[in-house]
Amino acid sequence: MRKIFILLFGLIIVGFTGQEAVVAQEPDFRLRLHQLDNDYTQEDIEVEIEFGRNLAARILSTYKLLDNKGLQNYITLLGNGIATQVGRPELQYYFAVIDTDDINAYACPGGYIFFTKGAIKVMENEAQLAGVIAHEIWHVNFRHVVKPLKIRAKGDSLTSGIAAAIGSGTATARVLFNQLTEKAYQLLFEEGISREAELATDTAAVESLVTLGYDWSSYRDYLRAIESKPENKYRKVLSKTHPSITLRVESINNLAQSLNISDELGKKNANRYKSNTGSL
Amino acid sequence: MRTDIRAILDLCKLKILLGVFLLCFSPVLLADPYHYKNVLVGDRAATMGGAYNAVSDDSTGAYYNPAGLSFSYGDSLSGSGNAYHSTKTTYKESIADKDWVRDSTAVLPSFFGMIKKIGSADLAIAYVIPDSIIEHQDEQYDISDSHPTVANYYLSLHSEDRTNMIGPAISFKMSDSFSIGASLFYSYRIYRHQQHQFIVYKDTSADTSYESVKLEEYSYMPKIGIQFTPFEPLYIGLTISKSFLLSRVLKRDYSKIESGDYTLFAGAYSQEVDYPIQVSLGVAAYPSPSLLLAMDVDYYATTDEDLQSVTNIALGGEWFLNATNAIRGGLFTNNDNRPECTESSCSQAKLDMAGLTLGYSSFTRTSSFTLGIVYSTGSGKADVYGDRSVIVDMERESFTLLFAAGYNY
Amino acid sequence: MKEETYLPILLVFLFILIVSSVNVVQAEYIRGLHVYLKESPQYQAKNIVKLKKGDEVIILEEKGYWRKIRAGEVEGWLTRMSLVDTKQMIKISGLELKKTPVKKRNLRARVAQAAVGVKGLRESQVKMIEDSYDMKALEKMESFKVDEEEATRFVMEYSE
Repeated sequence: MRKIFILLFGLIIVGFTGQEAVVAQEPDFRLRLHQLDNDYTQEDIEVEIEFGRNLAARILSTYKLLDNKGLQNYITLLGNGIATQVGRPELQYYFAVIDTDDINAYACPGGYIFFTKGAIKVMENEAQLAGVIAHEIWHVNFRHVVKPLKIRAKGDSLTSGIAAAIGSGTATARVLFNQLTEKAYQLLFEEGISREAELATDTAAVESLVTLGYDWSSYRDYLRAIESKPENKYRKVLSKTHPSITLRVESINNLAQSLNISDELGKKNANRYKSNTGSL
Repeated sequence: MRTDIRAILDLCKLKILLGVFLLCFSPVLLADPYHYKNVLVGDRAATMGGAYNAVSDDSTGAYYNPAGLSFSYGDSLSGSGNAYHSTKTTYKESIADKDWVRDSTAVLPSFFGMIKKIGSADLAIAYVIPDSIIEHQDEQYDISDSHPTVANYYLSLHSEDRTNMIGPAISFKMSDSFSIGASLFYSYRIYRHQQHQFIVYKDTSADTSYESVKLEEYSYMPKIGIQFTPFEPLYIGLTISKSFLLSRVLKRDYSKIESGDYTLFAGAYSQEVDYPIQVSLGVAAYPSPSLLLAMDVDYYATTDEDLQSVTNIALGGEWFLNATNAIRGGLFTNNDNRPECTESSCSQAKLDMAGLTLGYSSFTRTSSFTLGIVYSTGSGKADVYGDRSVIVDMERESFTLLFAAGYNY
Repeated sequence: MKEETYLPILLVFLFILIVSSVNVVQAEYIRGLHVYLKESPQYQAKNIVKLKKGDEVIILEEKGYWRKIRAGEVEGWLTRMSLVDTKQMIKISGLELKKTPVKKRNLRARVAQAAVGVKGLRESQVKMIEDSYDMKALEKMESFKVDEEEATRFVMEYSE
């Protein structure tokens, strides 16, 4: 009897080792369906878009749209082309350049994305711009403003019932809505997105570049280039939760190694970039 | 609680003198330190057959495997109770030719706990009731047709046995795929039993006895555990624990009137107990966000020469129909740690049980509500009089209806 | 160790083996207009066929950021970024909300009017709220639109 057991043990262990040992990644496979937080309804998305466009209007009252048709057209084509490949299919993304020498980019819920004139001036090729575009698109994909502010059609928290606030004509409801918008504005311009979120977005941006055929290392080089610049408003939002550029660059290098893309050379499109941004 | 009591009591000698067997019912049969899974703790764990060692990612993890606390989703509170918990034990043909049936019912909370993330650690506090029995019986047996000298037998008894445990637990995530944890429970058990027997003979004479037993026991139970994932979608949990006795005091009073003579006895004893070491191995598989399968093997290694080591197995599953509804099911064994009961050797009784569980949970973003049932059954043998003169068949059925609520914040 | 304990341990191993090979079939959808199925999980690998946006596929294997999928009768590799777990391909946009009943749109003007009559809310506060949103600029931003196919070609079919 004992021999049979031992034999069976042996067979099972062999069966075991036949399994492909996958490197244990971040074990999010423990999360159960009700914890996944991905059950966003059409209503939730409509609320997200309405909130996002209002936040965009808020930003536009502080920063003016850059008046440069050629550049705007280029950004629109590039942004939408990238969004079609790596963005959320149910969203219409909008891209605009704001007239400021600050170096930064902002993504509002619902797909309203801004780049600063200052940032575009620092970039040297299309791959760098594509990287930043992809990074902002992924902030929207990951819902990095929607989730912490609990922006949903219905919900248990005080602030999540904003559909009611939007639909209501009363001033007090609008004040509540505006306070939420101010909170989001603060998140983008002062507090900054959390470390995990920012690094996850960089990871997605790099993978996006590879999927699109762009040179991923250009994006990393852009981050290095802006690190020391005083106009870099990203530095202003450095806090305990916000990762430094050094950390982001390191994380991108590690990612490239683990994905085995260190040698993959993609397109940079420097000439097309220069011909569309030269007027700045 | 075993040989020492019977030696002092010595009532069984009456059997020979009086031809009356019934005063020999040993109250030891009424308590149950011989099974480890009488009450399945927690709502999610209980409805999954108790196969929770490799899951344990909520406050019930403090009881099953504290290492699992590191994988909890957030801070939460939860409480579960048994709306109805009943156990029916039948000793076949043990009162002349009649079955002796004993019922116990209880409505009791079985678990309350909280979990909080502080820095890199997860802390939990849990209050657990792993066993609780309330039994009450007032019975009259007419056995004039089957017994030579006894006409009627009256038995009235009230018995309560409850164990309360409370303690903290802490867990640290050493890496994304490995965690350790420890818990320390303080346990208080109180067992009270009162029994009154009245025998009416065919010659119209009568005898009576009264007995009262109280047992109070304090102990503590440390438990350490680990959880790790060798590869997706598996998690493995391992725990080791042992209860250590702080004090156990037994008080016993009895009186009897027999053929006109009375006897009174009162005594208190301090007892030593060496509890078994429990080693549990659990495996859980998470093949999708909707499905969870788990299996536990619990091994209780005893050093008490009157007892045997026991292995229990539990299997459980959880299936999410959608993000707001989930169903669970499980199977489990609840084996007896006494040796086999035969006519040559018996340690009061031997009853191995097995059970099945079913449950349903409803979720909102911050809360959950669970309803479930646990059913177990078993059969075995009992040495009703304590001297192996009569070995009877026994059966036990236990049914629990449980409910629970949890809140995440 | 007694004989009786071998059986449970054996059961544990069997359980592990069975459940770890449980492969719950995952269906996902093609994200993007320019997605090609490749012969092998490499960027330079040969293209097999072009896939349509929104097509349902089954994931067969994972290798890093590549996924082996089956689309209809064909099997091949693509990057995980080309897949999305939702079927929703039709755009929901802010502009569409303007089609809904008046009470849901352009609330600021209405608020300004209603607020004057509301107790405790000063007119200056209302004006401040109104002024901090540039709806005209927003509408201009929303006018920057382009054909999806053209934009995709702009990105995917140009290289220097």
